[in-house]
Amino acid sequence: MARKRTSTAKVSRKARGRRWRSRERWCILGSDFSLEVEIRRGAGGFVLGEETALLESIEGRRAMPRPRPPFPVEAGLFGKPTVINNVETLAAVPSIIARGGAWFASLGGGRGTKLFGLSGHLKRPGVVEMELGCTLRTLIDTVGGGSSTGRPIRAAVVGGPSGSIVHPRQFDEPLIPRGPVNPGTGGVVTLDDQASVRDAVRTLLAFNTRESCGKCTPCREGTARLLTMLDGPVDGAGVKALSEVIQVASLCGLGQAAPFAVLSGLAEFPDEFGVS
Amino acid sequence: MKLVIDARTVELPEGATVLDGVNRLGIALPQLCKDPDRSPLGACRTCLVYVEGQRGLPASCHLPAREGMVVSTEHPDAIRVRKAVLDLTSSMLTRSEERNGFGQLSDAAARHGMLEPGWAPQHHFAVDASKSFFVLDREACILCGRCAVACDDVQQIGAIALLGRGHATKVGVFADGAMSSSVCTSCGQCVATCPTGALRPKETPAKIARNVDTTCPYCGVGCGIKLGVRESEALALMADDEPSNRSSLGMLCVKGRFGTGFVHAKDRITRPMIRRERGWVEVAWDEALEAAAEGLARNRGRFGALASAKATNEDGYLIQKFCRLVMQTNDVDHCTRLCHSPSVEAMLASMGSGATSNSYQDYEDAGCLMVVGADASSNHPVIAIRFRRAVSRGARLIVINPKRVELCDQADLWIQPQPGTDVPLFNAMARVILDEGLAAREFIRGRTEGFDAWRESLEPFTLEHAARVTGVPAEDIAQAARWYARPPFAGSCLIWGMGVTQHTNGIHNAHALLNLSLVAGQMGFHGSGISPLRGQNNVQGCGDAGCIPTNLPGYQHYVPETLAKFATAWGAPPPARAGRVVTEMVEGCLSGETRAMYVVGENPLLSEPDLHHAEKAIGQLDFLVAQDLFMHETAERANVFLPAAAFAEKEGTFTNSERRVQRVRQALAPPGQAMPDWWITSELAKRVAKKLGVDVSGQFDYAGPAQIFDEMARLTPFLGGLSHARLDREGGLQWPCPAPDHPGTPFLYAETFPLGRARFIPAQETVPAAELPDREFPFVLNTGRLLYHWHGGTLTRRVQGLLELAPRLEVAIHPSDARRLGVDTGSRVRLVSRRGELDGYARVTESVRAGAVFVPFVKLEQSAANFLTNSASDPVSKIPEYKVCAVRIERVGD
Repeated sequence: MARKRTSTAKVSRKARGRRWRSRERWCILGSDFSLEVEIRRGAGGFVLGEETALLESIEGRRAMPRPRPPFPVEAGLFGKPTVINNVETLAAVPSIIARGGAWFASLGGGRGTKLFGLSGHLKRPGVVEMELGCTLRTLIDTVGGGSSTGRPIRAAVVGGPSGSIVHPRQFDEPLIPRGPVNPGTGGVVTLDDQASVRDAVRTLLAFNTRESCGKCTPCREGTARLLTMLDGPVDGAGVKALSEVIQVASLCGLGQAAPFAVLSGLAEFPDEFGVS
Repeated sequence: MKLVIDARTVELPEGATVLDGVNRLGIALPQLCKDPDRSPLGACRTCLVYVEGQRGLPASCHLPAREGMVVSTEHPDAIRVRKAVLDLTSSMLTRSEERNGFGQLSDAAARHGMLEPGWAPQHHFAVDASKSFFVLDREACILCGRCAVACDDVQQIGAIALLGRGHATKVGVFADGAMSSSVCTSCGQCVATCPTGALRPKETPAKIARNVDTTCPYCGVGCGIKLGVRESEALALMADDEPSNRSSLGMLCVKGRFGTGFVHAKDRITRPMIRRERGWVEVAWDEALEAAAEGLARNRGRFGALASAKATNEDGYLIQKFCRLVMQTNDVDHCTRLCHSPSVEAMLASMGSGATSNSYQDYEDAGCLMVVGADASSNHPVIAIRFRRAVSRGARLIVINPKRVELCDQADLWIQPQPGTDVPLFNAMARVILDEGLAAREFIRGRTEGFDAWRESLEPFTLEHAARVTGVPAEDIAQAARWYARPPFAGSCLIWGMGVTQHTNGIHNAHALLNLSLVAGQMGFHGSGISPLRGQNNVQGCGDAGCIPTNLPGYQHYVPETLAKFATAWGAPPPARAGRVVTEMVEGCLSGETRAMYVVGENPLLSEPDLHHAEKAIGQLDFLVAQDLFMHETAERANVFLPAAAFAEKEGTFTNSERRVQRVRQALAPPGQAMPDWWITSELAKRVAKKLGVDVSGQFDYAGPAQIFDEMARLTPFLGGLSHARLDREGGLQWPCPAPDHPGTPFLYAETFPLGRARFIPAQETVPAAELPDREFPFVLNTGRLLYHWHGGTLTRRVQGLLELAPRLEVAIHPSDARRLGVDTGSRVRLVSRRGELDGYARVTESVRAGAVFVPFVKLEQSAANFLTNSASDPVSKIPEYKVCAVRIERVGD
C-alpha cells in the first residue's frame, strides 16, 4: 500500500506539472532543491525490518543483516553513508514542516504521535494515530469500542511478533518506548477470555522462526528449539535460559525480540503453560 | 592503542577489532565463522565477550577496539551464553565414524567441557561425494557461510551458496543439485575455509608432520601453496593456500589445490637408466652420467638442449651454462618458443624488455581490460579471478577470441574475429583511436619514436576493411577501441595469450597489439599495462636465466662487453652468434645438423606440432638424454634417462608472469635415487668437459641452489638485488631489482623504456594462416587447453581426481555442423588432417563458430591434437601455427 501511495504521489505530481526528478529547470515546489526518488520493491520478508538486511536486499544479495559497526550512517547502501527511516517517520514529516517542530514536540509528552494498528476481538479495528503516552485502556475501550464478542478482554499482544503479551492489570500504563509497556511497532491484538494465550505465543514464536533469515545460530537454531519446548509440558527454567541466550546473542533485532512473547506469556499467564 | 583483555594488556593498531587483540594474546576464543583473511561475518556468535561499561555481550569479531577498553572472555555471563551457543551449534551436527570430529567446533566444545550436545539434530542429509576431490557433508555443517563468501567474493565463481531461509537453510548449488552439476571448479577455496570439515578432502585424515611454503608447479600465475607432509612422508591431498603471497592472495585453482600428488605417481622413474638392446636397464648414477656424457661429447657441434620451463631458475641457469661453456653452443631453447616467443621478441624490439609491464593487482584496479586470445579461466584461473573482481568494481571487459570462453559471460563486449585476422583488427582499432582524437599525444610525443612511419602503414586499415576481413561489426571494433583508449577510471590493461602468438603471423599480431598500447599510452602507471600471460610456472624464469638461443641470461646481447663479462665469470666466453631455436633443432634432426639432444623436463613428442613428423625427426638422433620424472613419449626414445627431483623435492626459485621471483622449497626427499636437476646438469657438465678437454674447474661445484642463484644474479643486472636469503625474509619480489635495497618493481615504464623511447613497429597483414580449410579438409581446427589438465597431461593424467574431472578428449563442434554430420554430444568422432588423426567425443556447443572446431591438446586415451597440427611457423619467432589448420570430421561407428 505504501508503494502504491508513493507511486500515485509521484504520478500526480507529474500530472500537475511539477517534477520530482532533478533536471535543470525542474525543482520541488519552485525551490532550488531537487532530488531523485527511486522506488524499489522488496519481497516482504520480516527480517527486512532490520535495516542492514534491507540494504543487502537492495544491493541484490540475500537479506541477511550485516555485522555492525560500521553503521549505515558511515557505510550503508553500496558502502555510502545512508540514512534509513521507515514510512511512519517519513509520513510525519509534512505535518512537522507545515506546523513546526514545537507543535509536534508538544504532543505525547514530547514524544509526538504513534500509529497503532488495532485488531482482534474489537468492535472497531483499524489504524489510528494517537499521542504517545496513551494507554491500552483508551485504545481498546475508547477507540476500539471494546470487546466484539461480548466476552471480557483477557490479554493484548502489543508490538506484533516482536512484542509482548500484556495482562489487563497493565492496561492503564502509558504506552511509551522503554516504559513498563512498550508500544513497539504499535500493533495491538486484543484477545478475549476464550482465546488461548499459549496458542498466541506459539503462533508469534513460529512466525519468528519461519522469518528468521538463518544467518546466526542463536536465532536460527534457538527459536526452532524454543518452539519445540512449547510442545508438551513446559520447562519454565529451560525456556527462560534459552530465551535469554537468544536475546543476548542474536545478530539482529529479529532474534533479540523473538523471545519476548514467550517470556511475557510465561510471566503473565503461567497457568496456561503449566508452570508456576 | 592499548586494551586490557583477561587482565593482560595488548597493543593494537588503528582499525583493529577486539578479536584481533584476543588472537594476538593467544587466548583461545572460538571464532567459527571468522576466516583469518576475510572480514567478519558475525554469524556464529561464539566469539562473544564481556566489555566493562557496555551492555550485553558483543561479538568481538566486529567490535572495534578502543583505547582503554577492558574486556573479559571469561566473565561468567560470557561463558554461560557462549556454551549455550556452542550447544545449539553442536546440536546441528550428526556424529559418526566417517566424520573425524568437527574441527574448530569440537576444539571449542572440548575446551568448554561440553561432551554431548543438548539436542538431537533436526535435519539429515546424504553426503554429496559427486566432486572428485572433496565432499560436501551437510551433517557437519554449521551454516557459518564462509564457503559462500569463498566462492562468491573471493573466487568470484558463485557455485555454492546458502539456499533457503531460516531453519531450512542449507549449503548447496544451483537448483539444489549435486555439486558436480554446478559451475564449481574444485578450486578448494571453500574446503580450505570450512571450520568443521563439512567440506573436506576425500582422504583419510592423518597427522601432518610439517607444512612447507612453496610455489605451485603448474601455471605462470605462480600461486603460493603450503604443502602438508604426512608422517608417512606423503603429501596431503589438499595443499593449503598462502594468504600472504602477493601474487595469489590466498587463492588457488584445482590443480594447485589438489593436483600436487603426481610426485607420488607409481610410474615415477627413480633410478638412472640406459636403454640397451633388451630394453631399459637400471644403472648407477656414475654409469648413466658417463654414458650420457659420452653420447653428448661425441656430438658436439651438432647438439641442442631443451631446458625445462617447469624446473627452477637455478636448474635453467646451469643448463645454459653447460651448453655455452662446455658444449660451446648457443643452441639452447625451451617451450617459450612454442608459446610467447612472438610476444617476447616484439616487446624486446619495441620496448627493450621481454616481460609483462605491470602486476596482477593492476588487472583488479584497471578501468578496462582487453583480453585477447586468452582463456584465463582455464589456463590462469587465479588471474581470471582478478578480472572478475575488476568487473565487479565496474571495469569494462572486452574479450577478443574466435571461440567463446568463460570470460565472455562477464564481458561487456565479445569480439569474435575470423582466425588469423588480428592485424587488420588491431590496426583498425588504432585508426579509430587516432581518428577520433583519443590518442595519448603527450605520451607519443615524449616517449615513443617511429610514429609517422607507423601511421602511414595504417592507411589501408579502415574500419570497413577490418569489418569485412574479420567478420566483426565495425561498431564493435570502434567501441572496443574507445573503451581501451578511454577507460571509465584508472587505466587499461591489454592481456593476451596463445590466440595472438601461435600463428604464422604471430610476430605481426604481437606488434599490432603493442602499437595499440603505445598509441593509447596505456602503460607505465597503476591500473594499466601490457601482459602476455606466461604459461608455465617458470617459463619467465627459464628465459630470464638464459635458456634461449637469441640472448644470454637476462636477455643480454652477444656483444663484446657482455661476452667478456661472462668470460670473466666462467673462465671462457659463450659463443658470439645466436643459436638455433627448438623448431630448428628438431628440423635439424632430419638434415643431420642435430645429432644429439639433452631434453630436460620437456616432452616435445607431445607438445610439438605435427607429431608424426616430430617423431620421425627425433627418431633420427644419434643420442638423446632425457632428464625427467616420468617415462613419457620423448623419453621413450632416449638413450639415457636421468631421474630428476620434482618441485616438492628441491630448493630453488620460480619467476611468475608478474616478474615475481619466488622461493621453491623442499618438502620431501626425492624418491629412490632421483636427484635435483642442478646436480645432474653439474655432474654431466663436468664429465663432458673432461671428455672434451674443456677446463671448467670450479665452475660446476656449487654448494647448493642458493649459490647458483647468487652467480646468476651477479651476471644478470635485473636480478642483482635478489638472493635466496632476501626472498626468504621478504617473500617474492618483482624484477627489476638491481640492488639489495631496491624494493622490486610493480610496474615498468613509468619514466622510461630500456630502449629509451618505445618504438612503433608496423605490423603487416599477411594471409590469415598457412593452411586454411578447403574441400578435402573443410573445418578450421583450433587447439588450446583445459582447466583440469595441464598442457599435454603428463602430470595431471597422473592425478586420479583430475582424470575423473576430465577423462575424455572432447571436440567442440557447432550445432549446425553437428546436425549435418549426424553427431550429438557424446558421439565418437574422428578428426583427420593432412598429417594425422585423432579420435574423440563430440561436444555440441555454440562456443565455436560454424565451420570451426576446438580440441584441447592434452593426450587422453592415446589421442592428441598435435598429431593434426601444422608445423608451419612464424618466420621471425619460429613459433608454430597451433591455432589454425584444416581438418575433416568423420563420424565413428557407434
